[in-house]
Amino acid sequence: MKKGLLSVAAVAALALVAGVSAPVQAADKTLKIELISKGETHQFWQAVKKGAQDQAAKMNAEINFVGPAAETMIDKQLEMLDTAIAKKPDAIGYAALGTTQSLPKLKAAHAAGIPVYMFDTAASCTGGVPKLGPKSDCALGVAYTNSTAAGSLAADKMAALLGNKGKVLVVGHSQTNQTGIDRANGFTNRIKSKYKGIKLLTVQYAEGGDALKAQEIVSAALVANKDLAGIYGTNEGVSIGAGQAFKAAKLKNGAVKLIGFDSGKQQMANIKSGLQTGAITQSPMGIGAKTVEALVNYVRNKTVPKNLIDTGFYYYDKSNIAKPEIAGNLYE
Amino acid sequence: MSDVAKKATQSEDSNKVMAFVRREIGRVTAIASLVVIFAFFTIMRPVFASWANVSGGILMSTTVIGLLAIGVTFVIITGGIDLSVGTMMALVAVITGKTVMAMNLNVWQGILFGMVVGTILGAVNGILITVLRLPPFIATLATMKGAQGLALIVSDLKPILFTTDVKGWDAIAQGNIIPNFPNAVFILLLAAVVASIILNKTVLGRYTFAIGSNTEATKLSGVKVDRWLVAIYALCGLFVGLAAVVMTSRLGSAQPDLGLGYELEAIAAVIIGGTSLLGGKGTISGTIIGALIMSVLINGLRILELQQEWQYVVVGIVILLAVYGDNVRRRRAGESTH
Repeated sequence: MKKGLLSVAAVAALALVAGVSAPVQAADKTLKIELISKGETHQFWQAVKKGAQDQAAKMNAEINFVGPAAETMIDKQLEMLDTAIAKKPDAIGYAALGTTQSLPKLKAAHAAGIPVYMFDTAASCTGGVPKLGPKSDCALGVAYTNSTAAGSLAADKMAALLGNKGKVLVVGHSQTNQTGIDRANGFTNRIKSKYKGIKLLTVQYAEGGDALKAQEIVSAALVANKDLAGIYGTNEGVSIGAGQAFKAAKLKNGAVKLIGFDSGKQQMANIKSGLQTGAITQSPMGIGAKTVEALVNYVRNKTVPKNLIDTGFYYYDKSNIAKPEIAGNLYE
Repeated sequence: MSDVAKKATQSEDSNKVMAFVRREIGRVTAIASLVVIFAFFTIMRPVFASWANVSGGILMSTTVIGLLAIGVTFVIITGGIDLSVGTMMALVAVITGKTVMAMNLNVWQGILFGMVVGTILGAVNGILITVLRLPPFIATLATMKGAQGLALIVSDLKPILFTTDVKGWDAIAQGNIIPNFPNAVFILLLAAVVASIILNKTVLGRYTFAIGSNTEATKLSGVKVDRWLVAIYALCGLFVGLAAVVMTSRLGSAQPDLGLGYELEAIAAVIIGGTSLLGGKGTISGTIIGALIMSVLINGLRILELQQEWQYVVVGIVILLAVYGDNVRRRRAGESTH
């Protein structure tokens, strides 16, 4: 305490001597950062928020984390982006739901001199990720999980589980948001190019990750395809719904392999009990933390962040669910 | 007095008969559509008609929307609307989930609790409409948003897991009191029978129709319309509460963001079933048939593996056809159309 006071005094004295108090004040100022996520409910976003909050506390910044109630509400999210810009914060973090609709708004933020770093999902900026940076009127960059690669990893695991043969159904959680599209396409493209023994059924969607709809889709698929061997669900809600459909159909554990996405209490319980085979997890806390870190460093120190920060992903199942490198990224 | 009175009774009688005939025609049309759609999918994929699909696929998928639609039927017959049933269901689900877990309630207590909470929330709608004189559309739009937010707040944004902690919660929907017949479907049928009796054999049902046919006349005849309206919205809430219980049992958890949009599916089922949005007319059996048409259609399209975007289009077209067909029939019968 005493030491802290002393050093503050020393810095103040130094500043007085140098006659430049302004930069010191700027460094001390608590930065206000608006983070606009794609949702609030799914625990994934709560983990992103937690990562962002922890990082913000370390770096003397304050975050305001908002998101629409459901991932289908593009309009609602665009309004939130408008509100955030109007508040003139020091920086904005944005997870794009409206990948094209948000472009004019990002331009407006750029014009107002508010730096934007995207997280989880990038908007369709002109020229894509390579053109991002301080000069871009879209954003500085994006911190995200490479969802296509994550989907491909799920495909590799599925093919290994099935010995490269059998019927597989993909149940997506969105046909319109880029993460949803990439997770599904990453899987299907990998299967088509590398695992020719596997037959893919038409991709079905439980829009918004609606667990009840996912359950109904999987129930119908189990009836229509007695030889269904595997299911890949692209988010938490879909994975829960698929597991419940297995239960309702009284399937033996493991009779149909189920690879899900993300974590959450119920999905983790299903993996531990054997109802679900495994899942891909991202590093949600890492996404939140790296977004805040990039923005604070840019505003305070003018350090230009990388235009792409890959925050990583892992496959986990019963055997490694408790290992620290996995468990740290799972959330109940 | 005698002549006028006699005439009045006579025309009342013939009106009753006419109304009955019209109702029946409506239901026959709806059943016919259901049969045609069912036959079509059976020809395309015979497995569609297997009991596994009919019970576990079609009927099971009708349970949540069907229960919501039963509740909404009462409200629509009064000439009102309830847009809040979807998110209210989510709110009831999370409140029930939290309470069952915190107080260690057993399955029966949990079911009862969910229905009571639903009834109270429904009564709130009724009170907003009658005491604050808000149009039902606005009042329930407000509670729809309010319930959506509260569901997120109460749940602390996390799904509430039942199965591992409450023994038998998943049996509410997925158990089989009758062999090979999911309990959730049994609950839906039971609810439909009870609702039908309430609508057709009780004072509450009579006033439901009376308010929808002519609110002013009902008021003038000394009926305390406001009180009955609160009761009707509360009754709607009771079925919403039951839907919430069935939903949580089907999922093994209460999902706080699941429900928005379900109100429109429920309303669509009611309208397809021949209930008039203008009020005064409607049946529970029609609503059940309407809900079945929707789930048969969606299940069939999934089994045919039609691409999702085309599934939406087909569902839209069928709703249009169903309601248009009903309108044509009503116009021919000289009735008002919605």
